[in-house]
Amino acid sequence: MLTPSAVSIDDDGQLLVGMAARERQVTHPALTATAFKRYMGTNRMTRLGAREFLPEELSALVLASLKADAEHYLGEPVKSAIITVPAYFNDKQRKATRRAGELAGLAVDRLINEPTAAALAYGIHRRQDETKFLVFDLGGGTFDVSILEIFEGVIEVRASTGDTYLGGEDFNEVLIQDFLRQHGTTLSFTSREQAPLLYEVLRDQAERARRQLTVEAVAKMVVSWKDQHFEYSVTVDQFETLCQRLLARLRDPVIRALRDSKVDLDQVKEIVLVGGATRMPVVRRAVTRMFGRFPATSLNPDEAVALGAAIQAGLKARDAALKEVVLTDVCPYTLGVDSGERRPDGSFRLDVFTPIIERNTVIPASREKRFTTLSDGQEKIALKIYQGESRIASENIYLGTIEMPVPPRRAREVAVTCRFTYDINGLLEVDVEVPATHERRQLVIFDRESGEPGIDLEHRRRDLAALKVHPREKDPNRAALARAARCFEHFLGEEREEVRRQLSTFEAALDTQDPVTADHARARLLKALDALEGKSFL
Amino acid sequence: MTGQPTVWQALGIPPTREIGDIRRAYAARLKECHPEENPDGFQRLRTAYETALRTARGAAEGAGSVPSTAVKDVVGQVQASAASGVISSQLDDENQRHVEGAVGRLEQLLKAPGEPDRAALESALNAVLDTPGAFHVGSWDALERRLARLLLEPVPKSDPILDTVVQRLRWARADVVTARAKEVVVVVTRVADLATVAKLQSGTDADARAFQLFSQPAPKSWMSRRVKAFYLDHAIRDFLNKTLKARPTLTQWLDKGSVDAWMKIFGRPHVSARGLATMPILSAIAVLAVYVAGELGTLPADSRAADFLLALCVGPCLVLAKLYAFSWPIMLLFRRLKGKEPPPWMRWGWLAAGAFSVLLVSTLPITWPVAAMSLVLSAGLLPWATVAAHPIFVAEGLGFYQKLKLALMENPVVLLWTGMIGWGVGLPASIATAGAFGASAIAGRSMAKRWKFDSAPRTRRWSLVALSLLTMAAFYALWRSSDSPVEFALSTGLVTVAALMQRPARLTLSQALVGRWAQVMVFATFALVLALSTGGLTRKRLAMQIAGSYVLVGVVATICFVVCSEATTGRLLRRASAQT
Repeated sequence: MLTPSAVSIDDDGQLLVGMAARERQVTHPALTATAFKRYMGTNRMTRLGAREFLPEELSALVLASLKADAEHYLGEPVKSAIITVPAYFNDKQRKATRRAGELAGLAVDRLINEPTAAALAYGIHRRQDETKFLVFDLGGGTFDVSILEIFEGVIEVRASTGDTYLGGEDFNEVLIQDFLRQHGTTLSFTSREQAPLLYEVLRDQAERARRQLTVEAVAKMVVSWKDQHFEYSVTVDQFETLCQRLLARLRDPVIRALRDSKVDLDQVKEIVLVGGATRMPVVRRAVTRMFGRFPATSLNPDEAVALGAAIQAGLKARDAALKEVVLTDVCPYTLGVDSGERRPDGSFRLDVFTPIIERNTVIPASREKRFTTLSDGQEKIALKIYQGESRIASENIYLGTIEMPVPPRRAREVAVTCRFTYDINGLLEVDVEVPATHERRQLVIFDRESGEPGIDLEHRRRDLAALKVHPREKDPNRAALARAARCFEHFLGEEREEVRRQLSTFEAALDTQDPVTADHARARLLKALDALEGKSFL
Repeated sequence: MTGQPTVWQALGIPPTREIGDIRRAYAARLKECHPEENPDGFQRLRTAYETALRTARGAAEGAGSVPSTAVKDVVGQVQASAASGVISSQLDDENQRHVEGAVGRLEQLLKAPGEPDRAALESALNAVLDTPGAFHVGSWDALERRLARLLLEPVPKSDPILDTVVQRLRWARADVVTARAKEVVVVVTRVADLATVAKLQSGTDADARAFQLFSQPAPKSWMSRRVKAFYLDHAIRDFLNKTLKARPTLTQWLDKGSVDAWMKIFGRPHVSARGLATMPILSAIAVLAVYVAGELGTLPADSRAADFLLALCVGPCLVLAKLYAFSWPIMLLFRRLKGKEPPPWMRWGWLAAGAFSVLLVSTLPITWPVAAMSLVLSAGLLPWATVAAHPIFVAEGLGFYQKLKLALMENPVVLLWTGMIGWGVGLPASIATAGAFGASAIAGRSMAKRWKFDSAPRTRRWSLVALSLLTMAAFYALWRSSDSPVEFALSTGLVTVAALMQRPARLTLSQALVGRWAQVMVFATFALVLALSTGGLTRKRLAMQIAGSYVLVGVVATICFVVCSEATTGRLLRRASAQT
């Protein structure tokens, strides 16, 4: 069973993580947080009950829950972890992810790119072949494309591109928008902020419909709101038309990956689909059209990444079975600095992005460039560090500034060398040196914890540990209760009565305090709910 | 052995062009230089590997159309491994036919004679982009290039849909690493150009005025061109330097004949109204110096007022009259080119200035013929000379030899002057000339520097040393020279010539003229102080010298113009159009 990234707080102030929290999303949107991965690396606070959480703190709670599960299964403490991140995560997002791991009490051995992990899971059995393949990873919120090559026991990532704002959630959004187009005026729904509860109902229904379309030709969205019943049905073809724009967006990263890797599509042996959203037939059809062939489906798209991370852990430990395999990854985006140029007529062109490490450079990598002063008597050089692909520096993601005093001389007489070192975890280090004065500086990209990160982190860890989390043994029951509560709100008439009946039977079973009775009753309840609303997708 | 190991040492193999060998060696060494444990070693190995691959591939490409066996092997392997997709090829064939059909229809539409129908073109284009086959990423680059070529061929017929293509295919996104196909870049540039041109054609700002000027045929009369050029100066320079240098492709929308005609004037920097406005101020300073000298009693008191008025009249009044003699043209040009009325003072100022100068000249204790001549000079010769003199100091956009040629064309005039002095007056006057040149040059340079006028840094240091020496010589010569009218007239001329001799390497004419005017003034003041201390100078001559120098700047400028103006034409635009 998978643990969804969801955190919720219940009425007595206890935290729920995973499935139980996910079920509460619809009934208690204000007390539940999901999809916080999208906000990693930002300062966006989520209020749950009395406390505000950073995205990394929410992630830390999920990680802590996973850690507890693993410890329960293994019967020994888990101390360190390998965490996968979307390849397109930038430096800030990676740092936040690493902090989340540390907050959960895990030493983060390695951050590994998700498509790389998936490819590892796929490629590890084919290590004797010499082959190239493409990993198409469309998850809930992010989209990554990687092209890999295997030769002589080397798994080499040739190129990695993506779109951090494209995923299954966007397809839900398409359905919601179309639903609102039909019923929006009667529902008087304008924005998510205006009616969060309704939005969650819509989202839940959209997700259900989207999953239904995977197996059936028509899907329905049923929303009961303020004693009104709204129905909306969509066919596979309609859905495909609605998704046209999203599907077109899938193509750009693929083309870029092919261009960057200098690999011909004919040379790509297989297309590996990873990520829950690739189960959607519309996506599969788009992939088939895009590549002119059917993608490989030998991997379970939900588990491939986790499997790959496990293999990476084995590689890291130099496990005997994986001894002969070496993985090389790339830096998926261009890193560089803001610079100026003097035009022939003497005026300046500023805001020019000068790449230092170009995207899809094999990592670890260290590159150096020289910069000179622009005007006479200049006393310092400020190098602004950016990440991105636009030639205009300010259109890229700003990472930080490093200032360097230089001896005042004539323009272009003083040079500084700027060295970027990008390590295997995708973390960046910047060194600047003035050869004339032998002065060196290293960049500390200003994080939130720029002051004393160690102490602060420790403090926050204790803070999070103090929060009460429901005992994990009771989680399945909590999840079942939450789901039944949601169903009770959703259905009307006879069906609602049925839910109520099942729910009270289950509650009676729980009251006996006998785990075996409770397990049986839970199974019965879930079966009844499955019959009512289709299988749970969580 | 010390130092860096070679590529082949790092890989542990003898030099080879076999890509397979290089890869095997890399893979084998990789286990020792694991990226986790030995990042530095790995980076060295990786660099060596990439270099080796590049060399091997370069060699393969260098071998021409017959690829080396190594490359063939790799390609063969890959093709064998890709052969598994049988279904794919069928799918591709079907889709390919659809794409071909859609592209064919678009091509037909574009090649059909007559006016293009925008809606039809757009739907044909969308049909191409929406066929399932166009979704295929493998053949995408080729299709993209083909589409771009197809659209570029019937330009400007395809202009209405270029924008749609660029937007739908997101071609305009600036990518710092991957270079776009050449055809695609041309399409993107054209779309941007079309947008810019649309803005320029309807705009009223400086850039738009310049663009409109260049895109219409130039006026037949060169006189009207020159007058127009005088007032469009800044707009044109900005247009050339900013817009056209950044976007040379814009020349497609300009009129070639018009460009050639205009560039005879615009290919170089020009005098500006602001530069001219500085002159009266400097004149006033010089006059003030005379006045103060009189007040202090250094000048004889008998005709102080007359002398002061004379100086006042012949110096700054000429300048004022010169400015205002052109107020009517200014007004007309303002209305036509800027689309607004000139400020009122400019419209009526010439009347006041004219009346004032007439009044002043009439009160002077000088004869009417002299006064009339002064007015004629002020109203006619000077403005004309200044406007006509625009294109003399060509600096920007010229190569070294072009500059040299120009300097030589200008120098005969200077040489002539110097020769005449040497022949007519003798050595002391020649030395005085040189001295005057030195003093004025130093003053002018320092002024130009203070006002942030750039001058060629390479020559700066040496010329300053030389000029200091010359100044000392001048002190000596002036000290020794007798106070004869001929010599004074000549030294006036020489000051002027000396001023003109300085080639303003990177100055615009307006800056140069201001600098030169400053030089004349400084020289005059310098000569005044010197003469007063030796008691050998009369006020009238002093005033005459001040004014005379200024007149002569104009005269010599006119001569230089006649000699060389049309001989040099602007290269900027032509170079820009050559680039496209």
